[in-house]
Amino acid sequence: MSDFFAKIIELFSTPEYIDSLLHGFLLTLEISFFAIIVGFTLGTVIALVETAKPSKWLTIPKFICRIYTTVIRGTPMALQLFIMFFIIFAIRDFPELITAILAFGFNSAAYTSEIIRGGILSVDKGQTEAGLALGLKNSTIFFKIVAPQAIKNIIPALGNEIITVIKETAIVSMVGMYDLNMAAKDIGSGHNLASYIVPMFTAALFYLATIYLITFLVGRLEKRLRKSDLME
Amino acid sequence: MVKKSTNSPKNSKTSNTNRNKKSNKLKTRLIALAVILLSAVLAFVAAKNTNSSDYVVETNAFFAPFEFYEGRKIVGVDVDIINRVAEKLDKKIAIKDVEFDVIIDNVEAGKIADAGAAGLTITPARLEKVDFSIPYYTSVQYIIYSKTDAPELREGHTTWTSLEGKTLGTQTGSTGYLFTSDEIDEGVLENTNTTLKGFDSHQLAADAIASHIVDYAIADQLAAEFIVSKNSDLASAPLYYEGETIADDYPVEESYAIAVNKERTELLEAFNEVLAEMTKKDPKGISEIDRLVIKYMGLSDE
Repeated sequence: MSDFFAKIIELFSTPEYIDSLLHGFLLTLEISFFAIIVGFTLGTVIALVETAKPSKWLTIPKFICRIYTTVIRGTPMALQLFIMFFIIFAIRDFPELITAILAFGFNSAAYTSEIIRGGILSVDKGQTEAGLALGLKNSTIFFKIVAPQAIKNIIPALGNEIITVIKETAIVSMVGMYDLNMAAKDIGSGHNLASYIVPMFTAALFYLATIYLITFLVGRLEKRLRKSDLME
Repeated sequence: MVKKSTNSPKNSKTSNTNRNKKSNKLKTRLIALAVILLSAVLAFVAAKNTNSSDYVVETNAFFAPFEFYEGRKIVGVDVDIINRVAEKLDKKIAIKDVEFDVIIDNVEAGKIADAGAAGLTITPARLEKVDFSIPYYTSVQYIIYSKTDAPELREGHTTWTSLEGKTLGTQTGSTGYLFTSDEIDEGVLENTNTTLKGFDSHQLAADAIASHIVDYAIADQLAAEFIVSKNSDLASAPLYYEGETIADDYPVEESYAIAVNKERTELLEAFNEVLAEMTKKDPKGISEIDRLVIKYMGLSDE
């Protein structure tokens, strides 16, 4: 146990270790941030296709979206990461940051699309019908009536998805990217601290702090959006 | 009456297609926006990190002193060998850190890697997939144990027999892993209820001792010595095959070599030439490789 405290002191008093942790943390944030953007954009597209009225030229895209969400949600993320790195993007000198962003972005898109789809479907059909009865344009109905209500329903689940992506990026250390988890592994390895436990706890604190901040921000946003509910 | 009822669906149908067209236009615009956003993100990231190299050598950078991170840069004996080869060929060689298990397969495929340098031992199964350079370092397998629960020692070393019925941990896919699973499947540990657990790294296997997940960890000599020197509760001993008498016991050894894709003969030749130079012993009986091992171990002890 005395070893444990000695290692805590050693970790926090070695500037190189702190430096490694911060660099790893930055990569984790980079991957997560862009992956969330990719996931949200692609997820929105998928959700729009899936909730669109059935028509002849949408049959195939709808089918593709269905298959996509089924396959992505039905296979482990670690496996998808391996496939992206060693099969799909097995291209020499291809920047690995992009591969990682796409791997997590594509994964997140499947979940985000379901969240957005659920949000859109949660708005009563009667509202669209009412809009049509008033002679409003489809775009007006979507942006002014359906979307604002859908967003309110989407935000909490979306916040959850952001948190999941941030934590999930920890597995990029499997393909040798120096993220926060890798920094912890490096500091814990034989030629440094030679114990995983202390650096793992430290990395956990970084994740926890980030996620706490995001939870807080999402909570604020939610409250803000609910304000109009209470007034009415 | 009849006329009216046939008319009205027709009307609603035309207005519906109109609306569909409008919403389609909107969706096309949204999708276009999404595509632009995505490509912007990718272009930004791509611009940030593009560099090209002639060869790629894969490694697993958790194997000091051969390869390990120092300030997020991979350094070590293998890295020095690779740099020497790059100099000789006058080519740029990139070093990539991946999971240990995938190195041989990636080198065999030759798509994203030309060679692997990760303290790889020559085995018949690996030889079917890749070519190996001449061996450049010989290492003995070590057992790491808790000082409170030492295995039976015979004049400073231990033997497979003392591991009977224990739970053992090591890095998945490493030589220790291959040797031990061979012994469990059809060697001295067959039907002895000995189990082997694979971990991400030797270090994690060693951590598992204190957590009572495994009884002993198996690692290469240098890795074991590193770990033990930093953990006062742990000790290590070389692992031997048991002979007739204690004097007849012989160590569980392995020789490291560089794995090269079968079609990259020029790279293999360069590695062999460089390694021949570096393994040549000086009058004192120490080769350049030995000196590098000492250098990197000393550096990390600071």
